[in-house]
Amino acid sequence: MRTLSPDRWQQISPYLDQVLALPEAERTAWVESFRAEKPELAKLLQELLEEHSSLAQKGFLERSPIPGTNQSSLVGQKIGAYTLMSPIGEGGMGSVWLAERSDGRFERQVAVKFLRFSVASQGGTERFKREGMILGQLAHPHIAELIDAGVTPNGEPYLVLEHVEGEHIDDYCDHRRLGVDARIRLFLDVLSAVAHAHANLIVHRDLKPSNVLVRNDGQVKLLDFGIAKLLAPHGNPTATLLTQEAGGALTPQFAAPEQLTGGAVTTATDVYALGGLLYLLLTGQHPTGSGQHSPADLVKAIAETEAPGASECFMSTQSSAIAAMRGTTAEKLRRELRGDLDTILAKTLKKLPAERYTSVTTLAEDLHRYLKHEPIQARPDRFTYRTAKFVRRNRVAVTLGILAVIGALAAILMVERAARRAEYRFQQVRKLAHAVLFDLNPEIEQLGGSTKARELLVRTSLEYLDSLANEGSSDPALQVELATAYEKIGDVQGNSKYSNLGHPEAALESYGKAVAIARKVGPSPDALEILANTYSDIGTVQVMQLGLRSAGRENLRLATSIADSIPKLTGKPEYKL
Amino acid sequence: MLYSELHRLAKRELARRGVPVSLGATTLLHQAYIEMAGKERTSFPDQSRFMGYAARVMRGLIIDHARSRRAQKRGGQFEITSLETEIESAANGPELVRIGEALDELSKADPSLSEIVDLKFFCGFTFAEIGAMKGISERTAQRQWEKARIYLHRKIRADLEI
Repeated sequence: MRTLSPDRWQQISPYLDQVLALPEAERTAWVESFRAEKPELAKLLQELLEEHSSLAQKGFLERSPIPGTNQSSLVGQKIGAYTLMSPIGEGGMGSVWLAERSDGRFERQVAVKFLRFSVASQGGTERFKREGMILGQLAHPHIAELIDAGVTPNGEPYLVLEHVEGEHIDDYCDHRRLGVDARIRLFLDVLSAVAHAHANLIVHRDLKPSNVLVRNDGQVKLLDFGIAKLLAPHGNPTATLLTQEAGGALTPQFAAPEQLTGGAVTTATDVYALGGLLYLLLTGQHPTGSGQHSPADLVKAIAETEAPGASECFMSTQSSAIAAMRGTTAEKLRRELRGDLDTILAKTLKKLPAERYTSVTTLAEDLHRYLKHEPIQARPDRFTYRTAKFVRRNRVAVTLGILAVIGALAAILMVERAARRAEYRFQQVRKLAHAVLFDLNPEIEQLGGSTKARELLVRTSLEYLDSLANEGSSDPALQVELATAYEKIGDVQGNSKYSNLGHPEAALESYGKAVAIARKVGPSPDALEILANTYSDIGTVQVMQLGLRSAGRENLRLATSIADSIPKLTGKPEYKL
Repeated sequence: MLYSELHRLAKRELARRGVPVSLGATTLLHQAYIEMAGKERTSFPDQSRFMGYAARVMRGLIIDHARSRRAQKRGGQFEITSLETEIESAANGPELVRIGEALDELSKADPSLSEIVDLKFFCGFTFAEIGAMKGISERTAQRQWEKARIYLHRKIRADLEI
């Protein structure tokens, strides 16, 4: 046998990737079709694949080289009423063994899970057994049964569980190329199990694909219910997931924000994790994205970043592969997810537990409605509603919050610019200016002591508005909006009628821009209204703040006469300032 | 600093044999990371790079351990410790040394693959953990591991045939 030269390796490596990604049954056919293309490489590939299956069978490099962790020594050991037979797996929490009853009373095989932590004190042991008992009473066809819980003489806690042979739910769906509806139906089985546990006041806390198995016959089985809680350090209920799991797995992709920040873990925590699971089943991605993540980035993403709408996931090159595994095309899949499913997922993945579905059952009901093509209960977020809520919630961190909102909107803007879709971009900017001025400002006004945030708000808004004004759109409605926005900015900058930043000159400049834009629009009622209002503002600022009495009086007079002319010019009823 | 810290932890780990379920190298590394992160905040900004490095150190330690055991045997020394009465680890001493050599080769041809072997084989991380560390999916991690294993096996077999 020849060793592989680096060149040869580079050459074969990508094909090896492709073929290993396929289900085993499809590999031979793939190599056959590849043979027509590159006969020599195909021959090598065939060889390597054969080597792969023999290595997999032998378990080459699969047992730990560290003496002592070599667990073959455990074979035959008795744990409670069970005798260990063979190791099944090694996970973040500890090792899992296949076992059978020592007294041969039951044929059934079980899984014994050793938990990789020590219950040092007597109290710890008692508590572990007690909580294990509670979990053992959880009987549901879709929940793997917890048969026993105990602690070995060496102080290592273990659980005896129903042995489930199956695939992780995401693999199961992919391998069978299940479509969106079939995936949702399977997911509803998961929900029924979680709902049952919640009704018994047990929160799972660690729902992720590897804890949701599907047997060959299509039966869903949830593993490890409540075990994350067993692992929580006693007397330290506020420990976050990260500190809890520092000694074990660090895979917080499915963790809810409150688990990372140390908030209360409730049934809403499971709702979030279920949202992540459904997101993965439907889009093939984690809600936090699939890119490079350091743990810190991931924590940040989970705690702060809103997940992109599920239907927006299909921009990458892998889209068609992901769609193919759902028996459809990327475009069809995107259409399927857009709308109701986007809305449902967004509601389950809310950062704030109170904004999520109130229970697993209500989530299940919405999914049933979706399957039956009935209108769902969840409502899509309105942008302005969300923004205003955001400010209200974050009184302390308001400056930071504003930065985040503006940052997010700026990002939209950048994307739009790149796409050169001028019209769409225009709409975005308009939305931004509108949101900032009409929704954010009143909120901030009530905060008090938020001058810095408002300064920033004004400066950023002006930048956007100026760029918008330079676009020179001919749409009169847009121009009126633009003028209104400038007028609002002026109020914030220095109109003593409102809580303001104390910059009357800057205010006059913004009012000036409003006037210039409104004048160009011509004598429509809307344009005249804004014109009259702005002249009135200008006059007020001049008289009250700058002491420019005569100029001020002039402008106020102008304002009144424009207002008076509105009914005559436009047929609109009398207009009063 | 990091090396000696890991060494200390590994020693402790190796001395723990006999306990039915040992804590395992992953726990050890997480523990090392937490301790190191506390002491040397600046030198290792993220856990994934830390683990890559630490896993390489771990490999070195384990292979050295295997080498020294072999040397002891050759010298005909009386075994005082229970080392050899323990069930022989899956990969025996000479094989471990060869695996180490093959890995050096692989790290030249495809460094990311050799890192996965360090994490998986020498440290016992799961594919899910490795995936999370390296920002790839669990399945990709597994695939890369499978590839690396084929490479290593070829290399070892070729060396034995010469």
